Amino acid sequence: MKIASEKCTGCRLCESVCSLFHDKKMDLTFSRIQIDPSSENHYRVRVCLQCEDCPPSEVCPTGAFQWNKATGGVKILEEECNLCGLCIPECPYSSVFEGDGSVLVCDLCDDRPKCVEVCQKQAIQFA
Amino acid sequence: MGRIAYVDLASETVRIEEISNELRRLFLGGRGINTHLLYQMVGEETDPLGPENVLVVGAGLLTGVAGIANSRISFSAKSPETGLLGDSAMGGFFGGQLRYAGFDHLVIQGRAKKPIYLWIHDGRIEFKDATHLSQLDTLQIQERIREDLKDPKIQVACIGPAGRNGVRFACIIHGLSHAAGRTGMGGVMGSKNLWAIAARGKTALPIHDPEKLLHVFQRHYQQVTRTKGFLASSIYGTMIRLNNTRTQGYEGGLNHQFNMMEYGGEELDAEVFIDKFETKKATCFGCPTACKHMFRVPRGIYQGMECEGPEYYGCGGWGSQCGCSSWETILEAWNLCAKYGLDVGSMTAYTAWVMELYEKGIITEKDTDGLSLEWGSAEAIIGLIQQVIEKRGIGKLLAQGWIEAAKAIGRNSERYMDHVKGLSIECDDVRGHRAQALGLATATRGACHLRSRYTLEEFFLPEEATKKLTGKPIPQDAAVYDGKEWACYWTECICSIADALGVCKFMTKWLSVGLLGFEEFIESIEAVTGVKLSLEEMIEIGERIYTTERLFLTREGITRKDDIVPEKFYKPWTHGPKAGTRIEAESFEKLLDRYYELHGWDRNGIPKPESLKKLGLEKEPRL
Repeated sequence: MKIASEKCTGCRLCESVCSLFHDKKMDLTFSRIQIDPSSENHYRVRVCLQCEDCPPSEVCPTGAFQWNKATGGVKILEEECNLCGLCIPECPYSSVFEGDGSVLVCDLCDDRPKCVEVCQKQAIQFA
Repeated sequence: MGRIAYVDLASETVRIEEISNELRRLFLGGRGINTHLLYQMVGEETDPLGPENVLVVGAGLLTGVAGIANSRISFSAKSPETGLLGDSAMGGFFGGQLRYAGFDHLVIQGRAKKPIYLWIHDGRIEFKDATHLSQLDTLQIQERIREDLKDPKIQVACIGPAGRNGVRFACIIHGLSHAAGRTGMGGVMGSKNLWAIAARGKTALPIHDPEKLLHVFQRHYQQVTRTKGFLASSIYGTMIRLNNTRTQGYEGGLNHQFNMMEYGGEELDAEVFIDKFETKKATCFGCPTACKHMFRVPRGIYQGMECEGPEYYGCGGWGSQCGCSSWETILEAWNLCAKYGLDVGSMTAYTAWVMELYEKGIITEKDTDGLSLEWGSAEAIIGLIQQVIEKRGIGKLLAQGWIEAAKAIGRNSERYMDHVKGLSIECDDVRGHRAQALGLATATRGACHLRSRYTLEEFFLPEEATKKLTGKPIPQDAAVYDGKEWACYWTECICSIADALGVCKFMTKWLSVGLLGFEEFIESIEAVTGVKLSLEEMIEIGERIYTTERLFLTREGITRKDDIVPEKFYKPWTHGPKAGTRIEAESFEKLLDRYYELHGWDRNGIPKPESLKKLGLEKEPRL
C-alpha cells in the first residue's frame, strides 16, 4: 500500500467500505484504515504499509500476527490472538488498531484492497 | 428505526421517541420527516424569533451510511426572514456524526436561559455553557469545542456573530463553509440562545443487508465516477455555472437590471480562479467528487487569507450582480460570511439591492453611515457585511431582513428587490428557461434553485432522453412552455427524495443524466431497510413531502397570487445570444394551470381534498 495523505479529501469512502466488508457493519470506528483530521480539510491516512521489517509481528507472543504469503500483507489470526495489545504501539505508522474485543490491521481484504477502488484522489494506492 | 429527540432548551430536558416504520414509509427522513413535524408544531401565529418556534434538525435516511454522497442534514423552522417555511441543508460531516451518536432528528423547542451548546454523544444529549464562545467566529467555535471536549473528530454545526446578534438571515455553519444557508435558520438558533450543536458517535447504524449494501455501493461508485458530468463537477464544482451564465447570457447584472454584463467579467472565470487561488479540493462525507475549492489569496491586502469556497452563488452574487470583477474582494466577502455565519444568498442579493437604491438616489450616504455604494466598490461590498453584523448604518435595517428594511426605507424600495415569497432570487436569470421559471415561482421555501429547478433544461436533451429519464418526453428547447410542468414536478420529486435521504443532489440526476436517480435510491433503501419501494411509491413520497410543505404555505395564506416570477421577467432580455426572450404572461399562466393540475391542486394553488386523501394528508395537524 502507498499513501499520499496530502491527496486525501476525508471522504471516508475507504473507512465505509472497509467496515462494511470486514464487519458487515456501518461503523467507521473499527475500520482497518483510519482517516484522522489534522486541520480543516487536511487529513492523515493510517493503514498498514506491509513493511518488510514489521515490529508488531515480531513482538507478538502467540504468533497470531502473521504474514500472509498469498496477499503480501499481514493478518491477525483471531483464534491465536490473546488480545495482549503488545503489537499496537510497535507499528511505526500507528496502523494497528484496538477493535471491539479484537485487534485490527489491514489484511488487503485477503486479495485486492477494496478501499483503493473507491479512492478517487488516489491518496491510497496498491501495486 | 432511528430516534427523534425532543429537546426543551428552557428546562434542559430531552424526551426520546423511536421513529416508527410507518413514519419512515411515509416521509423517509431528513427534509421529509422535518416537514411533517414542523407542520404540526408551528402555526400562523408563531413568531419565528420567539421561543415557540421549533427548529427541527433532520439527518437523511441514508446520511452517514456507506454510499455515494450520503452527507446531508436539514434544518427546518418558521423563517425569520420570510415568515414562511424555513428550510436549508448542509453537507460536510455533521449529519453522519449525529446519527452515529444515536439521533436522526432533533426537535428543538423553547429558549435557553443563557447561551448554550448541545453536546451529543453515546446516545445522550448534554447542555453545555457557551458563554465563553461569545467573541469567536464559526471556525474558532468549532476548534474550541473540540479542544474543550478533547476529541478532534467531533463535528459541529454552529452560528457565528450574525446569528448571535439576531440577524434574520443568519445561517448555520459547519467546517469552513458548509452552510445551511437560506431562510435564516441561524437566526432561529440565535433566538433560542443555542449557539452550536456538537456531535460525535461510535455506534454502528443498523443495516438490513450489509453484503447487498456493499455491492450497491461499489456499483454506484463506478456509475457516478464514469458519468460525463462527474469530471466537470470534480474540477469546477458549482463554479461551472459562472462560465455558463456569463457566456450564454443569463447572468444577473447590477441587481438583475441586465442579463449580460461588460464589467471585466472575463476575470471572473473558473479557470482563472483555479489557476490563481485554488490550493486543494475538499469534499463531503461519502463523496468522490470533491467539488469544493480550498483557496489562498497570494498577494494584496488579503494576502494569506485562506478558506473553502466560493460557490457560484457568491461569485455571481458579488460579481455580475454588484458589478465587481475582483476575485480578492469576492473571496474576502465569502470568507467573512462563512466566519460570521451570514447567508451568502441574501447578503449578495441585499448588497445588489441597496446598490441599486443608492444609484437611484433612494438611499444616500446619510443612510449608510457614510459608505458610498458605487457599483463594483470593494469598500461597499465588504463594508456592508460589517454594517450588518454590527447593526449600524444601513446594516441596522438589513439585519431585520429586506422586508422590514424596505418598509423602513419606503420610497417604493421594495420594487427593486427581485424575490418570490420573500426570498430573494439567485444571481442568474431564468426567464428563458420555462421549467426553471415555474420552479422559481412555486418553490416551497420561496425563490430557490434546490427544490424544483430543472437543471437539465440547460443541456437541451433530446425528447427520447427525457422520456427515458422521467417517463414523459420534455421538449428540448428551453424556451418552450409545453410539457415543462412535468419537468418541474419531476424535479420536485427527485429533490424531495434526495433531501429526505440525505443524498447530495450534485450526485443525482438533478444535475446529470448518468448520476443517481430513483432506481439507485430504491436499491440503497432496500439494502439499508429491507423495504423495496416501487418507482410509483417513491414519486408518491416525493409528492407527499412537497404537498405538506404546500399546506404549510396555504395555512399562511399563500395562493396563486404568490406563485409568480419577478416583474422584470415579463420584459425582454436586452443582451446576449437570446436577447428578446421574456416570459409571456398568458403562456406562463397556462403552464401554472397545468402544473396545479398535475399536483391535484385547484386553480388557486390550493391542494384539493381528494389529493390530500390520496397522500394521507386529509386530517388537520395536531398542534
